[in-house]
Amino acid sequence: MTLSRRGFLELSGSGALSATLGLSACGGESGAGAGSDGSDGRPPVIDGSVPLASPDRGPEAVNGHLAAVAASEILCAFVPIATIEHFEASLRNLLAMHRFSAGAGANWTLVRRVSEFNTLRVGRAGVVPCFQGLQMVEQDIELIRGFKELGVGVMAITHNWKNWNGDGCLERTDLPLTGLGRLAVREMNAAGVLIDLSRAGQRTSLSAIDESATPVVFTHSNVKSVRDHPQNVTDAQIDACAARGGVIGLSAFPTLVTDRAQPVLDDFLAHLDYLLDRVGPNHVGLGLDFDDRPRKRYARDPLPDPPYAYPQGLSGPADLDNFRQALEDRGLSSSERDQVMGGSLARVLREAWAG
Amino acid sequence: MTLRANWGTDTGLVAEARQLHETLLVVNGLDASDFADGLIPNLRAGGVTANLVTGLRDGVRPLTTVASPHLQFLRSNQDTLVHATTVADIRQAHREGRIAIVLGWQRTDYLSEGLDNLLGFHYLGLRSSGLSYNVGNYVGSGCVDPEPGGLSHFGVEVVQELQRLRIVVDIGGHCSEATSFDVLEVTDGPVVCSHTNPRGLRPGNPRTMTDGLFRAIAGRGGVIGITAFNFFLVPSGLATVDDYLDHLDYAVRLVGAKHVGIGLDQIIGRVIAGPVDPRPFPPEAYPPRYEDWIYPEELSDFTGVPLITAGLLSRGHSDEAIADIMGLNWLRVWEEVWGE
Repeated sequence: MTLSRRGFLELSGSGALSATLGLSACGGESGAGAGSDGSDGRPPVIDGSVPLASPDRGPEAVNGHLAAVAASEILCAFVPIATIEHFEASLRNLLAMHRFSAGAGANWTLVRRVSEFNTLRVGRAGVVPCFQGLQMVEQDIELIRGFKELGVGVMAITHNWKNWNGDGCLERTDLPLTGLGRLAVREMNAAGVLIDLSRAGQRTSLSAIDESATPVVFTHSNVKSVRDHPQNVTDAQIDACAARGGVIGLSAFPTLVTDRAQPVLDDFLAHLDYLLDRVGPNHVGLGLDFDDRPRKRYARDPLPDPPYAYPQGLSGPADLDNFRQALEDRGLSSSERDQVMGGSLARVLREAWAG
Repeated sequence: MTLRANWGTDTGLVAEARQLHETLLVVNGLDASDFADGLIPNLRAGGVTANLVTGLRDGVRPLTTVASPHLQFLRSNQDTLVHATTVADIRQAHREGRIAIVLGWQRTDYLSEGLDNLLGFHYLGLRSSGLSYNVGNYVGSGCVDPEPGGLSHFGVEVVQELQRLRIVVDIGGHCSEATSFDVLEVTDGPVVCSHTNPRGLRPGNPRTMTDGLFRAIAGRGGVIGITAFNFFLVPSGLATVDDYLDHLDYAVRLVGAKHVGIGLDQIIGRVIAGPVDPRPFPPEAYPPRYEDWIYPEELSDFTGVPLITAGLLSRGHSDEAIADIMGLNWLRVWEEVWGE
């Protein structure tokens, strides 16, 4: 079944949404217990932006892409459930993801606790459902708790454009968080949601970093000093994010890597080197963002049309070994390499989720 | 026409004002009252012919069904009112002695499922729309935002689509000055402020409007409606009809009688009490308890509207200016924007 917005709002925060919607409370208290945080082994490789597994593509595409992801040893995928969709579409997509996870052919599982990382293995990826914007919440920030109950573990304050909380990185204005935006940040903190600022405007993101009680992430953004693009982060954003314990996930999305028509791996690595030098591996992760869909909303948006020319040598999950090799070539220790590959994102998930 | 008991003795100026009021086509540019049975007789008692009411929404949410109680109300009261979508409808209602109700929004937060829905709302009768309500939304910033800014990309699309559909664009007041001036940059022709008060008389209240924006709206041929909300008229104590007239006079002196109207913004029939949400209604802009959301006693409903006519007359405004302020200015702009 589904629920009206009003019905959802009434149950939001009650803990009764899963049962009302006929979902098993996956990742409940009895979830995989060994170790609390994967500390008994290496952290999983995490990709902080996997739109090719978004549920509106249908179960075959989702299962197929997550199989490819898992084969490349990416064990945890942040999958966008919604960006600028309204409430009904967002809930529909989220329920579809739950349905697919329980369906035949789904060799993957939804992840709600860091402790569940222990159950992931090659061939069985974990999915963290994400909102890459808060359009669906509108002014009812109480809905955040309800969506968290249904497994949405990462939420972006806004997606490229302006909403009730603040400005997006492609907007005409660059204002700090609104009053409601500050409350939304606190609500996400209280609900145990990791805050994503990747598509937020510069000043909105800085005020969100300041407002948040727990570290935040830019799940898929590169370095503005290396490639001047509004979705990439300035030194001020990088420094503020890292100073509060946050993580920047490097994106392979071509226009964020370089202005050249065909990027190569070294273009991508220039962003890695900048971040390693400036803030170190504890604040670097991956949000590779392999995608094939149009992203423009307005003609003036500085976004290319598909097909996207991903960097040669990093054009899909199967190329991840090239990146591993580059980390080794840079002389990073094993534990530092693990941080970049997923340990840093696992750390901020643990802090935001409180377990 | 029935005038309220304290209308006074029927001699001299009062008689003249009563006589004049009965000839006017009185239009209220913004009403936030309930769609309830008492509304129509109350408008009739005050000699108000046309009333723009906030409707076509479900509280602060978009309509969840086109079976709107507002539309049901209009439909079931067809003997006494007209759901007006043209100025011709309003003039006909005036001739027939019926009340014309125009539907408008005070914000565009109802378009979260897409701008395309605006066409549907136009079909349902939407003829005027504000943009943001005190706090920022996906269109622009609000008057109480700590830092105001201009329109968003979506906001530009919204105001241009409003104009394309010939829906009145309502700026100032609830939406920030920065957003309002940005709207002026990306629109053509008249825009209005349906209900505000001059900052010059109420400094420190961000819900009021600066002289600069008054002039800019008037410069585009628009109209500014003046509210009778007690707290916008005076910072403390009880406002009077004279205070309301002071605000009208200030606006007329600033931009001329062709660009000022009444936008009383009453909340007749709405039972609200207790503390207000300070986020959209901070104490510098609104009284912190709903019990204090009041109006000058005579303007707490429509029966006192003739007192505005009388006051304008006593302050020396010409019959023509009074007719404009009391209604014809709204009709002029609505006719120009609506095209019919």
